[in-house]
Amino acid sequence: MFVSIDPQRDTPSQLKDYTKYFHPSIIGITGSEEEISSVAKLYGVGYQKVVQDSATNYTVDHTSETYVIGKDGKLMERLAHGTPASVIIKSIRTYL
Amino acid sequence: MKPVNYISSIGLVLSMLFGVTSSMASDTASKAIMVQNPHVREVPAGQPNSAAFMTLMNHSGVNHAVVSAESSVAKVVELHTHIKEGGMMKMRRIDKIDISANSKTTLKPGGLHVMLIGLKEGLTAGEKVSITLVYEDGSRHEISAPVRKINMPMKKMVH
Repeated sequence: MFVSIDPQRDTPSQLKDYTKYFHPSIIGITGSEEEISSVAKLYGVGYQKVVQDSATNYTVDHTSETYVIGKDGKLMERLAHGTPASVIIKSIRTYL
Repeated sequence: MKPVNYISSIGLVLSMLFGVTSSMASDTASKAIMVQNPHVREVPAGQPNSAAFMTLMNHSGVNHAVVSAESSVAKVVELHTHIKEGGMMKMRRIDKIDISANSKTTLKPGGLHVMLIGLKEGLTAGEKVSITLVYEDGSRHEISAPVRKINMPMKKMVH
């Protein structure tokens, strides 16, 4: 599941195209600012909108860990941004 | 008649020598910088932005910098970088990308990149994108960067 924290830019249909590009099983989801904020808190995810002098207008700073969640819904491991695929596979297989 | 001819040919040789020495002393940045492995990230349909990556090698004894870039595939082209600060990934626009004398600067996912903002059409692997780098001395370098699918965006982790 891929949760966008930028509902202003990422509409559900755009998210569908985006996640499909990486894998058809990934589900893209977003919500209101309040909904996203409460989910982010549950996961310990931090983000902040930063306006800058750029044609992109603003950028969203964000934490970038991947959470490996076990079958019982418990957090098993946190993987840093940029973890190689081989390490991610190993982690998933450990908790399957 | 003959002495006059000698003098003018000596003058010609001298000006040629001067021409060679002066160009060696003040090579433009576009001549001093070699661009290696330029490529552009393929993006899913509907994505408004992409990025170009490459290695810039400065074979001269003079510091150079890329101060802007242009491409017809995007409405705006900017220089950006990613920084990791306080556990957060931050993307920031920057004024220039330095390439110090006798060294190289690598533009790669998760770090420095040429940001293509407002793509006019989709970018599919195999296509070529023309990008012009503009250096601090105003010299320009047009490169052809193939579009590639980039799966692994970041640096390797050390365990």
